[in-house]
Amino acid sequence: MPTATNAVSRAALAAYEAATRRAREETAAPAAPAATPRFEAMLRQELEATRDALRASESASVEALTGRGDLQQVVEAVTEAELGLQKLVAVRDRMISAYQEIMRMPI
Amino acid sequence: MDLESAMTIAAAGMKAQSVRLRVTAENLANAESTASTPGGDPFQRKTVSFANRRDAATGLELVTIDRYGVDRSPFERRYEPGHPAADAAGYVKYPNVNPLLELADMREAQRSYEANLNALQLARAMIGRTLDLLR
Amino acid sequence: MQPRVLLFELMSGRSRWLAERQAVLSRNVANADTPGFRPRDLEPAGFADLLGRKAGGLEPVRTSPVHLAPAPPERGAFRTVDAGGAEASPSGNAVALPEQMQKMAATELDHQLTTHLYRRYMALLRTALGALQS
Repeated sequence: MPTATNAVSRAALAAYEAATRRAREETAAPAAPAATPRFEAMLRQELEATRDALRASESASVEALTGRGDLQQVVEAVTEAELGLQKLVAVRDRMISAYQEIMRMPI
Repeated sequence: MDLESAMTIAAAGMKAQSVRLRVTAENLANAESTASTPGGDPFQRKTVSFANRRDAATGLELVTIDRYGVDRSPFERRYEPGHPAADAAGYVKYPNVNPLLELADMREAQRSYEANLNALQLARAMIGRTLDLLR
Repeated sequence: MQPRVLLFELMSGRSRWLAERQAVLSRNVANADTPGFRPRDLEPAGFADLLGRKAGGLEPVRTSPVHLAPAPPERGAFRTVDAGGAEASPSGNAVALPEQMQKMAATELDHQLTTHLYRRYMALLRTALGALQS
């Protein structure tokens, strides 16, 4: 069932993909071509891990809210999802500011 | 029914138990109160009973005092010929109050009062926590 | 049409269930000495019960989860059941105070959990949405 968190993570993934693609296009020559695909793959991996953590957090919470579910599990799942998302946002912010710095460079 | 209803219901419970406490205290205080005239009747034990009734103002079922009554069990008779309330045979009528029972009743009333108070506080805590989300 | 956020719907339903339960339990405690009174409790609410609502009319669409939710359509009350044991006092009263107090404590803790979860998910949403701006 689509939820805001899943929709948001999908939108975030799309935004990151767009940002990395443009960064790569603008700085094609000096950057080492072999390094960039690995970076994108790593990023995608992080995004998917976070998405999984969010899903796990959600299902643990649903269990708790419908009267079943282990409190410990909920605490762990929610915390992990939160940390994952914060990590992702930190990475993304660094990337955006790096991109902006590159854009500011005189040709 | 919601949390506000819970508070109203609990408050009514507290009020009812307070009345019960008062009545029991009065019985205890008058456990030895005889009449002043010879052969007269002493203090008669008072009772109170509860009922759960729909309150018009709130639309809720609230506990309330059903009626105040008196205990019709016989008075205790003691042989005290010199007593102002002694009858022709020298017997004085004493109240039909058993202090031990009254004490037990008081403890129960106190316990119930506190349980209602606890219910009130829990409902208020839950409302407060929801309000905190607005901060 | 933006689908409703399941998790928040559940949290809202759960909150409502807990509030109603607290009222039912308070009623039990208030009537601990009422002759003939039998305590009641709410039926445990599952997934569908928490989300349940009467067929509603039109509702404004929330295009973003941070928009205020419209007032929910009229919802029915939850079902209550007799929760008295076989033991009853001579007057017919079947309320056991310790049991009621225990249920109230559990309700309170559940409410804490629900509210805390709400806070955390809202914070999570804000973090994620922050990433989409700028």
